Amino acid sequence: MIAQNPRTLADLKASAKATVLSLQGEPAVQQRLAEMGLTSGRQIRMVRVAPLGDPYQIEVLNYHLSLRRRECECVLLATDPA
Amino acid sequence: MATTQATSESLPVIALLGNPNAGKTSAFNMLTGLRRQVANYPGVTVEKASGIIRHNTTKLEVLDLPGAYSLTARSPDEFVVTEILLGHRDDTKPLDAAVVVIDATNLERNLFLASQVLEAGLPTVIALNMTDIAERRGIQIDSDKLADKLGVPVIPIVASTGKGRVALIEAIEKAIGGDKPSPICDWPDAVNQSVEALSAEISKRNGAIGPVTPYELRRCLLDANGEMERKLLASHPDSRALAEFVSEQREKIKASGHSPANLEAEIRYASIADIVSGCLKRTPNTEPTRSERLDNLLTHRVLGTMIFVAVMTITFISVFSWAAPLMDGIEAMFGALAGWVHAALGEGLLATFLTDGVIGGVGSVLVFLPQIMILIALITLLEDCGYLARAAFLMDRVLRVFGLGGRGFVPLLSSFACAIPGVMATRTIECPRERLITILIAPLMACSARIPVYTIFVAAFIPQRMVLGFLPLQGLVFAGMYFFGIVAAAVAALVFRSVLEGRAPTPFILELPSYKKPSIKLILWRSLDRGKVFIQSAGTIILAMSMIIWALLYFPRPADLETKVRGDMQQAGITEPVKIENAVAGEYLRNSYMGRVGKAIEPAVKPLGWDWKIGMATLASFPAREVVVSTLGIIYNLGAGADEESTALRQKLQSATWPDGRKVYNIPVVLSIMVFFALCCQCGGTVAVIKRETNSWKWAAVAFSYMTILAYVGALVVYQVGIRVS
Ligand SMILES: Nc1nc2c(ncn2[C@@H]2O[C@H](COP(=O)(O)OP(=O)(O)OP(=O)(O)O)[C@@H](O)[C@H]2O)c(=O)[nH]1
Repeated sequence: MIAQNPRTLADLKASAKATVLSLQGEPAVQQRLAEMGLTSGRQIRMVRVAPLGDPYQIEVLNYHLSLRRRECECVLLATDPA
Repeated sequence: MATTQATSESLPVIALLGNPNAGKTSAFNMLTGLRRQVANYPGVTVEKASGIIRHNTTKLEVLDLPGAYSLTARSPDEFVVTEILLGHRDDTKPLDAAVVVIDATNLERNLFLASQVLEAGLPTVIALNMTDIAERRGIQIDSDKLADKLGVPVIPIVASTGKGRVALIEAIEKAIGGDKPSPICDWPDAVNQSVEALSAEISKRNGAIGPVTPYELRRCLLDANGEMERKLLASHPDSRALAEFVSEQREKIKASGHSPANLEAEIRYASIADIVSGCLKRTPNTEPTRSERLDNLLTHRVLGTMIFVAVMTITFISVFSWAAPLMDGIEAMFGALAGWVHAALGEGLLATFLTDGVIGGVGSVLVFLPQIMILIALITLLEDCGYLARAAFLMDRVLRVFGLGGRGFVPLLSSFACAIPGVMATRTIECPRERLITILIAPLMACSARIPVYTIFVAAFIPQRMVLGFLPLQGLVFAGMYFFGIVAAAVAALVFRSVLEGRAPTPFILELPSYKKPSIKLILWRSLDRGKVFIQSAGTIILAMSMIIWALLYFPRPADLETKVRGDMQQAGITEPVKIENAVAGEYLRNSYMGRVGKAIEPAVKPLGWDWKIGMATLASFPAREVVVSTLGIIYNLGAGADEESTALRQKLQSATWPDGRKVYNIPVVLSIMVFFALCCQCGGTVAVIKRETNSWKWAAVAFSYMTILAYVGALVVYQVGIRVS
C-alpha cells in the first residue's frame, strides 16, 4: 500500500527511522530546519512524542532535537523501500 | 579598568563564535581568566562581553559573541554576529581573527557555522572543544587531517579544564595578519551568476552602499526575509526596484532546480560530509545511550511529569529557604550599620539622610541579591546538566496556549520568588515575541516581596475560620492571591499575543543536549556575573528612587510641628519617650511632601475605598512594594520598625477610622489593596532589568504602565463590586 499523501515527520511513529525527502512550507522555516541538519537524504529517527502530544523529539546527525508538530509537518519523508 | 580600556584601543581584536552549548563561554573564560566586561550592544538585546588574553608578551582583546547555529539572520539580534564579523558595526573595531569553538561530540552540525565563518574573509582558527567527552564516547577525530581539509588550524581543547590553552593562543597569534581561509564549498553557477548580477545592479544604482562582498550578496539572496536583504534595501536609493530584482534572481535560482531556502544547507552539509568522512570515526553503538535511557524516565508521561513537579518544587523551596536567612542577615547588617551611624552622628538631617536615605537605599538594593544569585545558580544547574531543555520540552504544549513556549516556564516560575532573575533568565528564549511576552508578564507572578503585604492584611482582616470544616480561610485567601496573579498573567499574555501578532513567530527549535555532570565553576561564575549585572543596571536606579522617596517623606520639617506634638502629648499625659518619638515622626510624615501628595490624590484613590494614608503608603512603595508595611508603621505612629508580624500594626489598621468615624478597612477595601499590590509594578529593580534585557525604555515603560493601570482598574472593580455585594 502506498500512502496517498506524502508522509511527513509528524506521522512518524516513536522509535521509527526515515529518510528526509524534502522540505515544504515557509522558506524561513525550511531554512532553519535545513541548517539544523534536516537536508534531503538525511537519516532521522523519531525518538518520542512529549506527554501532551507535542512537541516531538527526533535524532538527526547524532544529536537530539525537539520540534513542534507544525515544523515536523514541513519535513517530507521518503517512502522507505522496506 | 581605565587603563585596560586605554590600551585595548591598539590591541588586536578576535571574536569567539560557536553553536549554543559548544563551550564558548568556557573557552572565553579559559582564554581570559574569568575577567570580562559586559554591556549591551546599542539597539539590540545582545550582550557585549569582552576580555583580554594575556600570555607571555601576547595581549589580545577577545569578544564573546552570542551562540548561534548559523549566520543566517532574521532579526537585528541575530544580525549582530554577522555585522561584527564583517566589521560593519561602528561600536566594534574590525576583527583581526575569528575563533570558532566547535563541539567535537557534534562535529557535523558545528561545522555548519564554521563553514559560514570561513567565508567571511577573516583569518580563522577552529577550537575543537569537548575532546575529553568525545574520547569517552569513542569518537575519534583526526584534527590534523581536519585542519588540512578546512585549510585553517584546528586546535583540540578542553575548555572546562584549560587543556590546549597555550596551543590555541599561539595558533590565534599566528593566524592574525595571515591569509584568509578559502571557502570549503562551491556554489552552483546559478547562484554565482545571480550574485554577479546583483552586484552589478547595486553598483549601477550605487547610492550610499559601499562595496558589497559576494558573501553579503549571497546572504541577501538566500535568506528569505533576512536582515541582510533588509539592510541592502534600506541603504539603496530605489529599494522597491532592488527588492524586485532580488526576487527575480531568486526565481532564477529556483528555475535552475535549487530551492534558495535549502540550497545553502544542502551544499554545506554535502561538503561537510565529505570533509568529515576522512577524519571522524565513531564506534557505532546500537544500544540506547545513557542519555536516552534517562530521557525515557525524565520525559515519561507519568513518572517524568511527577519528577518535573518534584524538581520544580524543590528548586523553588530551596530559593526561599536559603535566601530568607541571607536576606534577614543583610537587613540586620544594614540595620546595625544605620544604628551605628545614628549613634555616632546623633539626630539631624545628615544622620537621617545617611541612615534612612543612603544605607536604607543600598540595603534595599542588596537585599535582592541572595534570591537573584541563588535562583540564577539553580537555573544554571538545571540548564547545565541538560534538564532545563527537558522542562521546556514537557511544558511547551501548555504554555503555547498563551502564546508562550516551553522555554518560558522556568523564568515564569522563578518570578514567583523574584521577577528580576526571572526576566534575566528569558535570554534562553529564542523567539523574540515569546521572549517579550514572557518578560512583560513575569512581574505579575506573586513574588516574595508581596508576601509581607498579603500577610499583614490577611492576618488583620480575614477571619480565622475554616471553610467546609477543614480549609483555613486565611490560607485560602493567600493561595487565592497567588492564583489571581497567574490568571492575570495568562490573560495579559493572551492580550499581548494578539497585540504583538505582527511579529513573525520563530519556529520552535530546541536542542536536547546529552545529560552531563554540571560544572560548579560555571554555576558560581554565572551567578556572580548576573549579580554584578543586577547591581550595575538596577542598583543606581533603586538607590536613586529610594533617596527621592526618602526626601519626599522627610521634608519639610518645621520645628514648631515637633513642639506642638510634644505639647499635645504632655497634655494627654503620655510620657513614654518611644510613643512621643513615634508620634512626632508620624506627624512629620503626614505633613511631608509625600503626605501632601497623598492627601491631594485622595479623590483618585477614594473610589478604591482607600483613605489618603493608604494612597500615600502605596505611592511610597513604588521603588519596592514591601516598603508599604514600614510606611504604614510610621503613619500609624509605630515607627519604621513595624513589620508584617507586628500585632500593634494590625490593631492600628483594624481600628483606623475615617474622620466621620466609619472604619477605614473592611473586606472590600482590604481586597482592593491586595489586588492592587498583586497587579502593580512596584519594583524599581524589575523596571530597570526589563529595560536592560529589552535594551529599550519603551518596553520597561509598557510593563510599568500596563501593570499600574491594570492594578488601578482591578482594585476599583473589586472594591465597587465588593461594597455592593456585602
Ligand atoms: N567535559 C567538558 N565539558 C566542557 C568543555 N567545555 C565546556 N564544557 C562544559 O559544557 C557546558 C557548557 O559550556 P558553556 O561554556 O556554558 O557553553 P556555551 O557555548 O557558552 O553555551 P551558551 O552559553 O549556551 O552559548 C559547561 O558545563 C562547561 O563546563 C570541555 O571541553 N569538556
